[in-house]
Amino acid sequence: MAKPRPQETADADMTPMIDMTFQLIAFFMVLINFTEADQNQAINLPSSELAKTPDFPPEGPVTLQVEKNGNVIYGIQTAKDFELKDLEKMLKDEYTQRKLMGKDPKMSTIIIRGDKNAKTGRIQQVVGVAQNVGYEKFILRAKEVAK
Amino acid sequence: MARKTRETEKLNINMTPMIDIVFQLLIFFVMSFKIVTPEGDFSVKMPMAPAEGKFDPESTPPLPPIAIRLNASMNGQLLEVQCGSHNLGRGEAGLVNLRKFILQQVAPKGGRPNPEVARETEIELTCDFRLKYEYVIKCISYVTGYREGNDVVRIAEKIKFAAPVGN
Repeated sequence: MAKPRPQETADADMTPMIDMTFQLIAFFMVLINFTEADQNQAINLPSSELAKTPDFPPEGPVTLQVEKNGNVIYGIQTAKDFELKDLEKMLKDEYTQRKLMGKDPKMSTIIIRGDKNAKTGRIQQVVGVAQNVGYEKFILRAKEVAK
Repeated sequence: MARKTRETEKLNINMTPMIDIVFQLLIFFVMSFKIVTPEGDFSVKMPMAPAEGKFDPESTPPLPPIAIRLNASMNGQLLEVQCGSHNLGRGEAGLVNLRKFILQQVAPKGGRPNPEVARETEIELTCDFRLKYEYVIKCISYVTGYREGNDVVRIAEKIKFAAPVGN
């Protein structure tokens, strides 16, 4: 009768794997961008070599996105062609809210992210709506191209 | 004898649940990761026009704005570029001529435009309603400055829009 082998347990050293995994998690956590509401990927921005990344983030930003077909996206809401009045109402509410919070809404910045194939007139209409509400500072956003 | 047994005891922590969670976190972050292209800005200041008869010295620049007209074809392509009464050509070539024309106005002796003059120079864009927005950004890029190596030379810093033409 053969003598039974002594039971062997394979103890792999898990430390390097766990180190690497934590580093990967840290990497993705730092780079992940949850602000999808402000950066609709369906909008194909025009590109420019002079558009510069701001040195500091704009004050009290309000992002208005104009799709190729002219639809306006404000936050998660979409205003269709005939609903610019609704957009005006939403922007007015935002303006009043900022006033009530003791902020100067005129210092807020409207960020326009327009699709490169959108009609210029449509974008000007959207700017006009924001102007009517009382906003004065505007930023036209473009894709930075490699220098 | 009792002491010897304690020394050889090995504490085995069960790592499986931690590794499971760590891998789940890793998968979550990998799946939600999206490469975002860097975005840049053009600042435009557009206060409401003062009521008729009222003079606002802050909003009124010392120099009259340079009026640019961008005409579009029926499908929204850039057709013609005009500056004042000068017709500067069609399409992208028109924009190149536009930059040259404005540089002549801002720096008549040649060379780099004076940064103070650039700060005061205002551009007024009048576009056709149907013109594709990409041409407006292109035009703004051409008239606000150019790159010389890593430096950006500014030609004009103030931009404003006139009401669009047509619908």
